[in-house]
Amino acid sequence: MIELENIYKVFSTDEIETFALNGVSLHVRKGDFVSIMGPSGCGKSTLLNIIGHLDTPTKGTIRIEGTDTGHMTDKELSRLRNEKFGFIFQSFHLIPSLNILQNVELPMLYSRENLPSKEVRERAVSIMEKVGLGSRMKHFPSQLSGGQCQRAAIARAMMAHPHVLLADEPTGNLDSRMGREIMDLLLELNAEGMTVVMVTHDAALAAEASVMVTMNDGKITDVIKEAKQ
Amino acid sequence: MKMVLTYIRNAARSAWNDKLYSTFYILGMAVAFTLIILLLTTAKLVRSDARPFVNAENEIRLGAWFTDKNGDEIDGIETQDIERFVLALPGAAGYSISNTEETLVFANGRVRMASVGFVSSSHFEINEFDFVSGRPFTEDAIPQAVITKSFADRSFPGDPLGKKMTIQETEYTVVGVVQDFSFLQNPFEKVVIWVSDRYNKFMPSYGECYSINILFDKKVPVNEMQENLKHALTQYYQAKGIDVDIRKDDVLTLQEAKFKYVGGNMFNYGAVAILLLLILIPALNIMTLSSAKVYASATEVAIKRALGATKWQAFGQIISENVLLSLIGYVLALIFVRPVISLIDRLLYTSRNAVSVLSGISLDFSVSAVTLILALLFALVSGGIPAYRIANKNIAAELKGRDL
Repeated sequence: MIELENIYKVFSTDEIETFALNGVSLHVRKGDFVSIMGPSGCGKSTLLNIIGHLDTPTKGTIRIEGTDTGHMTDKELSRLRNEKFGFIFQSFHLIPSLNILQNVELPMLYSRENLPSKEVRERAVSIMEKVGLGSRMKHFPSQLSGGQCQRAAIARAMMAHPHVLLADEPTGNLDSRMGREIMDLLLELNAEGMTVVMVTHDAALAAEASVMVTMNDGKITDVIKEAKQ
Repeated sequence: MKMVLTYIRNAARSAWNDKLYSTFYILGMAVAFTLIILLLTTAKLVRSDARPFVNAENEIRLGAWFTDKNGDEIDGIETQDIERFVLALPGAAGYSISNTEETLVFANGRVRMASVGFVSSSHFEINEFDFVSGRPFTEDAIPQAVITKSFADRSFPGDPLGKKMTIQETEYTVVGVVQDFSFLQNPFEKVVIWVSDRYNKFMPSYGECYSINILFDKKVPVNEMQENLKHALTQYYQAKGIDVDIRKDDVLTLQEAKFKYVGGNMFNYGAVAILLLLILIPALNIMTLSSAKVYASATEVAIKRALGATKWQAFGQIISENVLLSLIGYVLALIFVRPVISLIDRLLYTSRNAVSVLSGISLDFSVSAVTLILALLFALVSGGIPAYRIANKNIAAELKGRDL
């Protein structure tokens, strides 16, 4: 489903070059739950951003469902992000001026599905009920707890029926109980067939994934498949 | 369509959420666009043949005096010679005579100093005065007068037709009311009351002559009109034994006179320069204000890009707020422009009973359309550059809260 071949990402200043990714290759299969672990600055978030096409590699090839994305235009990349990926960020990244329902509906604004507003609303309500936010739809992000915001972010990520969920430290800003709830939600979605790639510092959460990738200094140092216990 | 509606809704929501910014933006725009409309309107009046002086290109006004070869002043064409002079002039299609005097006018129990034109009735034939009510005066009946609307409003509230007023001990009946016009349209016509020249008691006691407004056939080229007139004047004065010196300025068309006395190319270049400044100053200020707002929304834009918005969609969402606020500023300017014209006109008035610079100015469609284009252009300039930069930022870097 996702194939990375020999990916480099170099951040350059006038004096030094920093290799955030140094020849990374990775293959994510449909239905996998991949966790990426490693110390701070090892390149795991950079890798996730490159998988999600929020950033471009300096060198290397990315294939999404067999298609090389290296020469895609901005419009094609935007479509790819909208249709293939759902993003979940550590700091939620909900838009504060929109209520939760409007935040969840947002990806449909850019979707080619072009659903009528009524159907968009029905889909959003259905997903929000699924993540346990059925009674919080008209609330604004500032009126919700961290856990509820992350649930809203997951609902938004699910809205355009993506093929892969990309989660960057989804439990990083939450207490352990809330973090557990979010992890359970991701596992539940994975169990329903959703491919998930998650960056985390938490070894215990990482161990619950089906594939555990360990990184260090911009390189993948270990891949443990069927890690789920 | 759905996307455009969403842009508008989001822009309105964003503008509402930041009321102080929106208020400054809209007020700044309203002031700038009001001045731009005013400037464009006055420039258009100078350049075009607006009513009542629709024949400015082929009308020449001969003054009441000329100079001889020694530089001494000589009287203009004598009243009894005028008709013969014009009839002999090749290409002439009509004429009127006029003498303007500031004099006391007794009207409706009040005395006012007003600018009165003693003219022949043909004055209303060679110029297309816009009659609000009534008709031109006739010379074969009791003394009659035509007045401007602003003078009528001040002197005869209600229906001015049939009302009486006295000038030089002659009682006139108001038979017509014409729309006001601007001094910019004709620097020689400052009159708010027109009566027949036959009642003019100033003439010839001051030894002056009438000015003559000669209308030429539209087919006659300007050079030919002026050469014919110079030749005819030279012959007229030669017959009197006077060696007259007719200069170019003596035979200017009304259009040329407007450019000379009101402002020609210098006025237009000046107007354009002021116009650019009027746009540039608020543009720079609002660009700064707008940039700060747009940069503050960089993360929000990055989120939308991550969710699937293209660069152009992100750009459109940002710029739509500027377009919305600029359009509101433009609409306010359209509302403000009339009271502002009235206010400036009052400040500029030397006499309330003479034609002023801005009297009779109305909002012109083409000026409104040009200003609308400027408003949209301004929105693009002021918001476009920061919007373009934000839309092109690296999404990952922006979401991480730092730039690379």
